[in-house]
Amino acid sequence: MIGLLLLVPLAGMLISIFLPARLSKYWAAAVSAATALLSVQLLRTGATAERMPWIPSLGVDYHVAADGISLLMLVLTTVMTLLAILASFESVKDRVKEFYALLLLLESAMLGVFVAQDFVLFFVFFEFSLVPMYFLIGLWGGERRLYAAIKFFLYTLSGSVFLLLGIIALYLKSGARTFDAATLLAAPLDPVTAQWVFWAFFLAFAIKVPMFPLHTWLPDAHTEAPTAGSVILAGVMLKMGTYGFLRFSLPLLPQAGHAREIVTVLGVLSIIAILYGALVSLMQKDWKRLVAYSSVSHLGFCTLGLFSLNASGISGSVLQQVNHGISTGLLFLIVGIVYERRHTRVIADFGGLAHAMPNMSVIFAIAMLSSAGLPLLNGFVGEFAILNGAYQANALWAYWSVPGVVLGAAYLLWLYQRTMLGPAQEVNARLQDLTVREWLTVLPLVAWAISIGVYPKPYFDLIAPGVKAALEALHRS
Amino acid sequence: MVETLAALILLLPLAGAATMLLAGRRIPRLLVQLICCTTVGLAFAATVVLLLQPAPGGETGREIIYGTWMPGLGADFAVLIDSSSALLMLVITGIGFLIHFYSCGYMEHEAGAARFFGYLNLFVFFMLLLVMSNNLALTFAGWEGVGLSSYLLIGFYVDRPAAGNAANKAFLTNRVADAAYLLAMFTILAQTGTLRYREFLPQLAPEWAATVAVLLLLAAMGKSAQYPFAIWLPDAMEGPTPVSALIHAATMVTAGVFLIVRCAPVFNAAPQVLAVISVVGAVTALLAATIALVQNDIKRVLAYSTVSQLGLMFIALGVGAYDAALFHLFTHAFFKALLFLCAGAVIHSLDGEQDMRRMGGLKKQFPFAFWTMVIGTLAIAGVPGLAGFVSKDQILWLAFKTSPSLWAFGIATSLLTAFYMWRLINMTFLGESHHAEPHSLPLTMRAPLAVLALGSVVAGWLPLGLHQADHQSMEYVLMAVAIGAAASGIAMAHFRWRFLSPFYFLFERGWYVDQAAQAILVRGAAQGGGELLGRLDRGIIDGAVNGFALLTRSVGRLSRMFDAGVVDGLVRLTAFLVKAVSYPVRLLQTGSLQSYALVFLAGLAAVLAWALAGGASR
Repeated sequence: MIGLLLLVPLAGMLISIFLPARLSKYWAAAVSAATALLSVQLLRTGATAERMPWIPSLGVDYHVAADGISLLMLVLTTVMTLLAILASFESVKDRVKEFYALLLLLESAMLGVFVAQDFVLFFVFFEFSLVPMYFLIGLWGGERRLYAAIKFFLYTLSGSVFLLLGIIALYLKSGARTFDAATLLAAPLDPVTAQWVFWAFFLAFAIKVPMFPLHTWLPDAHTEAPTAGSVILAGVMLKMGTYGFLRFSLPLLPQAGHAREIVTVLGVLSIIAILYGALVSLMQKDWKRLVAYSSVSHLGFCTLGLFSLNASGISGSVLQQVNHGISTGLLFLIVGIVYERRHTRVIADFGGLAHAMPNMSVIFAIAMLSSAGLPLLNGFVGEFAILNGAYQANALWAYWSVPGVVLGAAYLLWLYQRTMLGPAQEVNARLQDLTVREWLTVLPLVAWAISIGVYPKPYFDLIAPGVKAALEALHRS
Repeated sequence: MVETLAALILLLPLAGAATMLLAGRRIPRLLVQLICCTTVGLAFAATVVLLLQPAPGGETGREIIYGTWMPGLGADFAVLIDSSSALLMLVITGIGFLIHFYSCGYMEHEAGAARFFGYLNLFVFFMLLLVMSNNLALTFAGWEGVGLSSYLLIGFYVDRPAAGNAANKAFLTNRVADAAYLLAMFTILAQTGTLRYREFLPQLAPEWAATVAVLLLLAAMGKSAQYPFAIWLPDAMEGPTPVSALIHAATMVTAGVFLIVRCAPVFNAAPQVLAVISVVGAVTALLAATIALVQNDIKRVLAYSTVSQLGLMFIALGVGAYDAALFHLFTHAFFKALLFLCAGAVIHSLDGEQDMRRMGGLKKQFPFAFWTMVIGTLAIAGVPGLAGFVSKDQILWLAFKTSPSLWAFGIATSLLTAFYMWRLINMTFLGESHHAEPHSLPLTMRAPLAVLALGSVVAGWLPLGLHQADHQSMEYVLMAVAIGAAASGIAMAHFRWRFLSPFYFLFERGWYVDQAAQAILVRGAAQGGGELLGRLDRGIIDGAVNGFALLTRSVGRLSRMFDAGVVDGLVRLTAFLVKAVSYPVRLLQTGSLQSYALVFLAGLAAVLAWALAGGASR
């Protein structure tokens, strides 16, 4: 089943090459919808692991499996891809065929990242997701797209180099003739190697997340990317970093020694990201850039939860990764919807949009409240679990990060006021409200946000076994 | 039965709100009004029926768990019905219904009826959730929910920039306090593992009581507008007047008082925090009263008055008189709602005029509003026989028993209250008329005024079990002083004495609390910090990345030069050397037979010549 899930978008991409360009978007939508259904089916039935040799001489296997955490990530990926494709129907007008083919290719690569159990396989998927995104930004992006695309590519690629070095070091030092992740991570290592590998992995994932101070590729990439690119970047690709931390960095901690000092450093970096990202968001003049910086802050919460190293923090972090995908995905979709009408992202160009677009303003309000962590919406549940975990790890962490909750409301409310409220200028007074297609892109996320917010228990149940395994690995030695 | 009723009380307003917000634009105004009044009216009826049940909660209250919300934290969808939540439920649904009814007339000519009534219903739902919840987390959901409804309703007139600013200010000021609420929950969870009131309150270790109490106090100070958090409440008057009456006077702002009552055991275990509460209350009561002295906007007088009265409730909490605080909360809900609705009637009939300097002489044209307003004023001023007197007297007496200086703050506040309230009557209803013919009041607005006026008289005498009667002779002396203070306040206002005028500059600027908060928090920390970090981000952090790119490119350019000059130079030099060496040889290798023959002959000749010469020499 997992293999099928990986293959459907890939096959869809190959077939789309032979289809006429005017059908591309419908084909891509159909393929990604099928993939989404498949992933939901997997979520309901559970997934069985698949394993077969790939490069036997080196001990590289095609080995995929999915626990609850992976399954959740898979669903997040397929849903965000489907919505990203739907959101691009009107806005992408040139090189249409290539655009949708790249999105499907990207989907396949991202799905692979969340199921790969073999380091080489993981690395291949991890790298392969870079290329389509590079082209998406570079070909269909905004004015500074080339700068942003190259920055994104080089920055993340240099992280990947460290990842590769780490993997090779692990392979050579452990003496195991396999690239199987579980085996390599469990193999006894001398502390020095373990520490080097840990930091190499850390660099790769910290750039991907991104953690402060490695984050500056993000505002450029998010801002210049087309709507679909921003939605997928924020919704899914950033989580490849946090996912990597959870699966591959945390198990190395016990062997690396000085775990307490390392974790303190990472926790503090997370808190800096929370506060720093929020404060910088506050002063942005570009709507999309503001949302981009808010991601730095929100991902700070996700990493803080992870490095709390307890059940509440880690499960909150996993759930918050999904929540961030939902709320920030919504926020980027809304920026895209407005951009298609006005062709500007400067906040000062707007005001009073609630008059012409009342439905959109309601959806935006829900997205804002979800992002700001209002109870009974999804963001609160994740944030609460994370901060609770952080408090258990170190009460000061919670004290230092709650101002992020206040600032989060501040930059969003201020954005809302400047764009939606007040009297409408002439140019903004006659904009069309949400179309049927746009409703289709936003409603699933709104429904998802409310359902997680009101009844998060199934998600915690789904995440719990993976978190338990991670904690056991942490306390093994 | 109790389960169903409690669920109904919560779900009715929620259903009303959902209907309005999903489909409201397609529902005619009359139906909107009907639906939204009905939901709250039915919720009130259900509350009454619930409380008439034989021992609905028994002596100790009753918990009903409907379902799980956040697992493992005691954070369920569950209610706790006991005497304090029952009292608040009555106030919320009862006064809430009256204000819904009043709004039908008040908002008759405003667009967006569905939005307005939908938000009002939403508020009632969240407020009920806040008081009915059996755990801190669900109370927090209600707590943030009423903040949201308050934000939406303050900003109801979306075209007014001032409304948007006031809405943001209210939400964010509260959010600062809510951060403390969050931390209180984490502390409690770490100590006891549950957020259910019935479980964590007895379990919390005494050494943690002070921390939790301080955090909860901060949260309560935000919602209940105690200094220095009080700055948001006067600005919140940008919302429609019924909203001010319901949310910013009668119900939401009392949530802080309710929270402290709910968590009373924590505060009892931390006497030093209780002392802080009474100081906060005393300062707030007096400070807000002085500011109310000089306001000219009729709603702002009432707003500062609300802050001041909440201060009195905090004094009561601080001396551990939780029942007295709840009692004053109850009576205050009646007379303050009445005062706001009367003010709303005046504003409504003067086409939105709020400046009292442009009012006056309305008594003749407007006897109904005048007399109801006078009843409200006498009630809040503490004139014997009315509701405010009974509850305030209780607080003053219990405060005196703890500390006479607290009592002094209270009595000074009473004097000022009587003064500014009668000043309000004086400026709006008495004196000369400035207005030709105000609109008459519709019945929908008159009826709630009448009911609330009645409540302002009798609410103090209802058998709620909140009023102790251990009268001592000292209490009668104090009572006489309080009555004297109220009477002299009214008298001074009536003869328009300029009271405390040297300090007016302080009062008019609200003791500079707002300005200080703006300068330090908004402009300093948030905007200044954001601007600074934004520059840091572009200049230094991203600068480092770009610098690294530049460095790489420069190194690239250098190595290109090196490559072209030195490395490739060496290669080319080698090539050149080979070429140079081979050049003469190549010259020889012409491929022409004649030249080969020529060279061959020349060589032969040379060899011969050498041999001959050599031979000759030998």
